[in-house]
Amino acid sequence: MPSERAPVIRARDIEVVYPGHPPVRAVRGVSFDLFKGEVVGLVGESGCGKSTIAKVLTGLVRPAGGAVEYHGQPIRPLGVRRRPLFQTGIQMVFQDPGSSLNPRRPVGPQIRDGLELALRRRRQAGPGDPAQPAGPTANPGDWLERVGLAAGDQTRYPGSFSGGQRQRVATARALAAEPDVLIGDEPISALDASTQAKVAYLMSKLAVSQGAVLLFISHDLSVVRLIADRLLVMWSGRIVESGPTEAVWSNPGHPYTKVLLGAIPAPDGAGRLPAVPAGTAAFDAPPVIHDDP
Amino acid sequence: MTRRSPTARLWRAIPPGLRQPLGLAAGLIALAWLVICLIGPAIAPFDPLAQDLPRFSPPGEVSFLGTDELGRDLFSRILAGARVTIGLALVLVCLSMLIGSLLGLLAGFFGRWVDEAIMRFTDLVMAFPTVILAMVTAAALGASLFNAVLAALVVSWPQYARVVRSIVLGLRGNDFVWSGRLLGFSAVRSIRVDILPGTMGPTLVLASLDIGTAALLLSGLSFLGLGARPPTPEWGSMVSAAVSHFDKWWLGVFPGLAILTVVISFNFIGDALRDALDPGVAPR
Repeated sequence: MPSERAPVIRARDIEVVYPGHPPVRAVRGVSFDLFKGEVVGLVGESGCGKSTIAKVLTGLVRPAGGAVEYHGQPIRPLGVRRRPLFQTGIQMVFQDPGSSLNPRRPVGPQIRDGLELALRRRRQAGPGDPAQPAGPTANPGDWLERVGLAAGDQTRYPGSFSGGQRQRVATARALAAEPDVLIGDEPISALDASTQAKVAYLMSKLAVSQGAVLLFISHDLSVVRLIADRLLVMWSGRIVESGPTEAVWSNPGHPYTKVLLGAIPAPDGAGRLPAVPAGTAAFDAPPVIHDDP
Repeated sequence: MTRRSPTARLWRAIPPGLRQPLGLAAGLIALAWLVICLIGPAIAPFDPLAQDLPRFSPPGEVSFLGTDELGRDLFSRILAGARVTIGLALVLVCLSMLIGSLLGLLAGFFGRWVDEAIMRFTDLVMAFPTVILAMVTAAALGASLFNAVLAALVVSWPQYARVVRSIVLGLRGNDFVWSGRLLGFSAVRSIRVDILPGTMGPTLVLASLDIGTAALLLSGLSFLGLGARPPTPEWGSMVSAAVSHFDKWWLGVFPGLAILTVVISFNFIGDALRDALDPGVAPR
């Protein structure tokens, strides 16, 4: 039972409001914990606030309310100043493979940025520091090989890689920083179907082998099911169902989760379309929380 | 990849805009002027300041392009003047690029009040007609080449600030910039590694287009008596001196042609660079 341990990330009642006319309440009171070594899938439709959660955790968005703690320390929003070294233990792989890497730099130096950060954190982190990275030092070539590319690729520019390969490089760079929280913000949604599962599986395998928690954000349930230990289902800025992946999958409790699971096409040739209820009123049902087995 | 002969590869290395006759001619003229800047005084047949030739000698008699009202060789003065006009134009463009880019980077990257302050100041400068503001500044500072460059600088940095700011605004929101910040990049490192390289191409194109304008502005100030002082061989002041001797056509035509060819050839090079670097503009 994970609740016996201290969570790496502890989010309580996060509220995010984007200014505008009218202001958009992107996240309405979201709470969750992330524990070391687990893969958590955050799923939901576009615009439900998934990416905003990722931005709150990395400090790119300042929440309007609630608290996010990383190893018990509040996360400071990223401003003009350099990110606090302690918080660089939270890294992210972005959605768009076209812009997640600097097109004007070869990939080797970009991965080296991650390695340098890991070195800096090692030097600064005192003994017993929970965020202190462990493991042998690597070079960009090692990391390219770990994500299934060739060590010789480090002199190539991002433009010469395919979308899936770029997401592998972005994963390598984020993990080279030896984070203990890796967030994948829809990292596979722009990839073709045959690559999606491979990249997702690679991310979870590498993150878990480093002892990091992976928060994998996606609207593609079938891929998330393959890698996630636990699911958080979001709808309209709230978490409507949470629990172990199999429990949610086999026994969805919330009306929205049922629709979401029903929307996965079955490859039986029958060509069934998901049954969508006439309105979303049913989704306002109270959240369903599956207990850990 | 197919193998190409070295000549063909050299040809491909020339920006497409310069590969047509007009562009090629412009490129060669600009190159010739740059060479003259470097070796001009060495190949000049006479001392550009010496007043020992017959006065108002028409082209071809005593010297190639004739002599002026003080018996100085026009050809030698134009060769020596290249260094003054083009050299100072290059200095001016470099300085305005430096100042404008820096302000544009700061405004675009930091946004908020930094952006507001810098851009409102830029608007203020741009609100004045360029030549008038340069004239006023030069007149206030006193007539000298140094002050002319300073005055021209006052009016020519804003366009760089605006262009660079808009590029930075576009780049700043890119995921790779955020990734860099998440990897602990300081603002300075983020600008240097992720932002600055992206602004270089368009800024250099703008600069190359600006060389001709800068040469024109500097010789314009000299023409008005706000730049080069006699006896410095400067094209603008040479044209200015020719005004009082209108029947001696060569006095004004040749320095005028020098200015014209510099402005046109550098504009063509700027166009070619823009076409080569910006796929959105189809090469003509």
